[in-house]
Amino acid sequence: MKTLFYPKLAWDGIRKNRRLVFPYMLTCICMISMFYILLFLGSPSTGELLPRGGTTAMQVMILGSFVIAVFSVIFLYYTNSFLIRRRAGEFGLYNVLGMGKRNLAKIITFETLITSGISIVVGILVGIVISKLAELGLVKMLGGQISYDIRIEWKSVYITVLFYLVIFAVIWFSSIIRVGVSSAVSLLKSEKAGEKAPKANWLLGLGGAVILAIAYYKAVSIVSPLDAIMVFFVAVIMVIIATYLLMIAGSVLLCRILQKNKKYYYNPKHFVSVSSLVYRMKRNGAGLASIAIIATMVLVMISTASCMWFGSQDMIDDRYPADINFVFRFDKSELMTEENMAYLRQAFEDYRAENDSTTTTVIDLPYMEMSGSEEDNNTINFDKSDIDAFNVSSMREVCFIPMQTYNEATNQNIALDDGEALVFSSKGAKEYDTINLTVDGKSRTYKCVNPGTEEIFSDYYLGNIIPMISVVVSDYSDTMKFFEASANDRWYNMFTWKYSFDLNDSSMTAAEYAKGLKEAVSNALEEKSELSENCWYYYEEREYEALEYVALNGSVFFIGIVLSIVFILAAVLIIYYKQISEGYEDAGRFEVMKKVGMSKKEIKRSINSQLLVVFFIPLVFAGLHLAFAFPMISKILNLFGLFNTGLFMMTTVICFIAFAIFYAVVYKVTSNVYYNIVTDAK
Amino acid sequence: MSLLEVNNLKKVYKTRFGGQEVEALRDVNFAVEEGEYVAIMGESGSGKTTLLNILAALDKATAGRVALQGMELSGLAEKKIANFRRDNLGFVFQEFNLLDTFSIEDNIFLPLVLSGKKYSQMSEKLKPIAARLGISEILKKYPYEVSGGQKQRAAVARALITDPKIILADEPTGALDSKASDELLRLFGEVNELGQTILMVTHSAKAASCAGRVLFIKDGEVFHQIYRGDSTNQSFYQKITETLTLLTQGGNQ
Ligand SMILES: Nc1ncnc2c1ncn2[C@@H]1O[C@H](COP(=O)(O)OP(=O)(O)OP(=O)(O)O)[C@@H](O)[C@H]1O
Ligand SMILES: [Mg+2]
Repeated sequence: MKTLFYPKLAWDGIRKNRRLVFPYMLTCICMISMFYILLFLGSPSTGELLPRGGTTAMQVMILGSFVIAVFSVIFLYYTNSFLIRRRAGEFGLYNVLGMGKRNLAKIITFETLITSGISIVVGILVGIVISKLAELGLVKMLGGQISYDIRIEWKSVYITVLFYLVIFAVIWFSSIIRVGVSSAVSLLKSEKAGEKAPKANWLLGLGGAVILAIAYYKAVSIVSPLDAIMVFFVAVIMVIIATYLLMIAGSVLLCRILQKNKKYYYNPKHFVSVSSLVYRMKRNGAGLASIAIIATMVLVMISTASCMWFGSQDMIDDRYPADINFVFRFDKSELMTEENMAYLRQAFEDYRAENDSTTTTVIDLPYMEMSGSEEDNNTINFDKSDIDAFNVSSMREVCFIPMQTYNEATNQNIALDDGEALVFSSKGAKEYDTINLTVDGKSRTYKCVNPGTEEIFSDYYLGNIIPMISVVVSDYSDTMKFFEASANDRWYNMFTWKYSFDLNDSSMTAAEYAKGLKEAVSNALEEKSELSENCWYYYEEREYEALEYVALNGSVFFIGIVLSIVFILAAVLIIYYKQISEGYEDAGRFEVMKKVGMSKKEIKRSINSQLLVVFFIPLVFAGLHLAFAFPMISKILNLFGLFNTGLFMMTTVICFIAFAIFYAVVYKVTSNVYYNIVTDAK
Repeated sequence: MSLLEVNNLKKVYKTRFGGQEVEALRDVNFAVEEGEYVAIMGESGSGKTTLLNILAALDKATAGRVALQGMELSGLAEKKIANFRRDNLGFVFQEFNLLDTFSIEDNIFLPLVLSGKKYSQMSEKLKPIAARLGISEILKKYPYEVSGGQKQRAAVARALITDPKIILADEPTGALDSKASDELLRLFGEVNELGQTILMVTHSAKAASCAGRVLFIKDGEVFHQIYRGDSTNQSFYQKITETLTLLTQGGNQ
């Protein structure tokens, strides 16, 4: 019988504290099952069900499980230390009643065994059941073959169990240490500790505001997408630090300033709320900051991921303007002649006729491409061959296009004088009236003619990442020679011919057509000796390439949803615990206020106004962070080939609204818990 | 007309799930004149706190009448009760009941702020009271920074600052050591001299012996009362302890 003493005490402890422990276990179960599900989806057997991009999807899933792993460690550790703190009084009482530290340790050990055992077993079971649904969902999204067999990935089960056992062991150890080092009296008191009036820390408060301002400024002043990636991580860390500082120190500071204003402070409407807020913010500032950060994280993640998913078609259309896209590269400028291109066009045409199909040419574009850096005096300097990592923002991509091609493509008949050019600048590059193109101390200068609106490079993918300048010139072959002389391996792939077309009417699929065409083109190149050695090419067939995009974007969207669920759950738990602990604290306070002559209505009003402020703070912060992150993230999306800012705006706004509604519901429900505690306790 | 009149007061607690009923007060009758200093004694569980709560309109009587200056508490609308409490009553509790979110000064101001007084008015009012209670130095401190005796004096200041018609004190010395208790009782005596009416529940015969009259409650009724008359603290104390012995040993009347 005696052996059952401690397990029984432990079980009683859990039952008595179910208001605290059950939500914690629920969170554990959710994290464990999500972790298993992601490992399961990241296993090769799931990848095999996907048409293409299985490896990409797997990598994304594994990355997601990694995020959950890191988050689990941090979150469960802190949640547990909160629980131990709340229950310190109970342990202190046992201690005073004559239980040694050893016995307390035993109780804690059994409690940990019970909670972690249940969490792991249930978590895995739930994971196994849901993993099948998740797999079906993912495969359906990515257009793979549906299989209804139930499958258990034993390796994933092992990893999950092992990993969470380790986490629980660490948590157990830290609880033992925490209880072990504190004396009975301090345990009894620790729940009441910290009743000191919080001091306003000017340095931290102002520091938070300054850091936030810098981070915001950095985020909105970014011009190029490449900068965005580099700034992003710095900005994220700064924003996190600033949020914590502002919530913990800044809010206390603000309340203190309000208190200094006697007229404002000694007003029945503000008196109680302001002074209670100081306490609330001091105690729960960190919790609120965490909620704000998690909310921001969720919003950024889900709005970005859904934008990628819903923008997949845009991405694909931008990247692959036609069904079949051929790109030829010539080693020397003299090979890029109208004659050679006509020869190749003929090869396409022969193949088309042979296969009795019809096609529409979408792009037929010869150009010369180089990268240089933007300097003063309308100069682009091509001397720097290496990309200067610290000066990405001055990098420019310059494309020369023959006048004739331009006229044909746009159905115009523009004639340029000597030394004149049409110059188109993409986003991020300036508009020129004259342009100097310099290499090795020599330069060519063009006077820019009003280019009109007919740009033919608008769909060009790279142009939106590195600012691009297209220069339409009439002396195209001279220009080529001029730069070729100084090339010296400085630029690769200078001389490019793009040929893209839609397949309208054919007995073949685009993939079959392209495959056969590839043979025909290779043969044609072989037959012409000057080309066989010095021209190479590749092609991309849109439908096939699209699958890779769908796999990536789909799995990113999927992981976005999964991680959002986990993060939101964590935020809900933080809110819930916050309400509970504040409820117990405030119950006594409101009792006193009643005795001193505050009416129920006044008390209720004061509670409401405090709850409301505390409710809005994280949401306002999340909204602000999101708004300032918006330009930065939309630049980063450019890197992934998504240029539809309107779509991103829409997904962001929708996600924010949905989140706000959800948040309000959670707050309402947990506020009821708070009210119950406050009104119960008398 | 007395300042406070209590007639046939009855209080029955019903436990939440309907079950048992506890009759805390059966039939309480007494009156307090203006300027009186009355102590209430009785065994634990005899209903003293219940009585005080009803006088303070914190709780509702089952039957009977309570009137302050002729105004009946039961007639007060729910909305007016808080105002009534604020304007007419001062409280001192065993556990001080200061709010840790406020400085001592703000704790004392709380009822005045709720009545919408200006800061300058309030601090004018506080000065003499704080000086008399010896807490002028600690006004800017927070409750956790001062001693129990100081906290209790702050609570007294909070009770006094509204110029209440009556001060209700529930075992005000209960959590104080003997030195701080003596100090508090001396202060109570002083403010009573100045005309403040005080009604104090206490377990301590010594505390009760400072009052002008002692009521003994037993079985939900006022069992006995004794006046100080001209007797000294010492002999009044004697009388009280004798009555208490009678109270506990006498069993049923
Ligand atoms: N809220 C309540 N619900 C039910 N019964 C109650 C309630 N409050 C008090 N009682 C009962 O009413 C009786 C009187 O309680 P009260 O607190 O007035 O006693 P007391 O004289 O103040 O005792 P003490 O000297 O210990 O403070 C007790 O029997 C108590 O159990
Ligand atoms: Mg009592």
